[in-house]
Amino acid sequence: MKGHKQVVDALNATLTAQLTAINQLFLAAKVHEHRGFLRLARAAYKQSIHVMREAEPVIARVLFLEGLPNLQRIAKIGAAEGPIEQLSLDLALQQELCAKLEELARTALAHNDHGTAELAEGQLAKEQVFLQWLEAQQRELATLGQDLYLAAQVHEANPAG
Amino acid sequence: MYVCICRVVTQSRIRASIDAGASTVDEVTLECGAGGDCGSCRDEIQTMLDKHDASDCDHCPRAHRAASASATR
Repeated sequence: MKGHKQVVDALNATLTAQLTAINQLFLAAKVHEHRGFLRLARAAYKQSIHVMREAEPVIARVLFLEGLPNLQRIAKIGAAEGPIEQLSLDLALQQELCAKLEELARTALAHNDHGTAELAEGQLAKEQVFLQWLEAQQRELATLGQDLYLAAQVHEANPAG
Repeated sequence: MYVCICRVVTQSRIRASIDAGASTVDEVTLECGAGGDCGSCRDEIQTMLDKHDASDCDHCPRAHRAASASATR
């Protein structure tokens, strides 16, 4: 089915945000792990893999609309020098991904592409869960202070999770 | 944060080369290496240069640029 060019472009813009998130969070996870902050490492790792799974239906949708999924383009990776700074870079990244999904839903609805809109809205709700987690970290950080907060990141809360 | 991942250059290192007198992205690249590989951080380096231009720099080695800029205004 031939899709509207603006919808395909919005899907590709979402894909760029997803590919950026996959890489940034994978790097963040490995760096957190290297520094010994296992709780942060686990959260970033899980989200990276989650976004990779979310990218799959976006790629499939572009192909369905007879476009070419752009896996070439990636935005600037936010690589911090420390764990606290990384959290704020990850927050900015997640806000960007949510903004792209909102934009995709709007564009799709404007062109009566309800299938794409539904895909975008479903993914948006899931991405907002991680957004909420990142915002919670900022609140914890403000309440506990850096030292206490980081001390709580050394162990995984739930090794099975 | 690391602005240039390819050459492992931090924001503070780039700021240092701007403070030392680098006034274009190419000069920053020459001075500290940032932006010399894939180039995806060149926009960010440019933004840092723009911000520096906007700030008061009477006492840094680039004061002559600020002076000439205000002369043309």
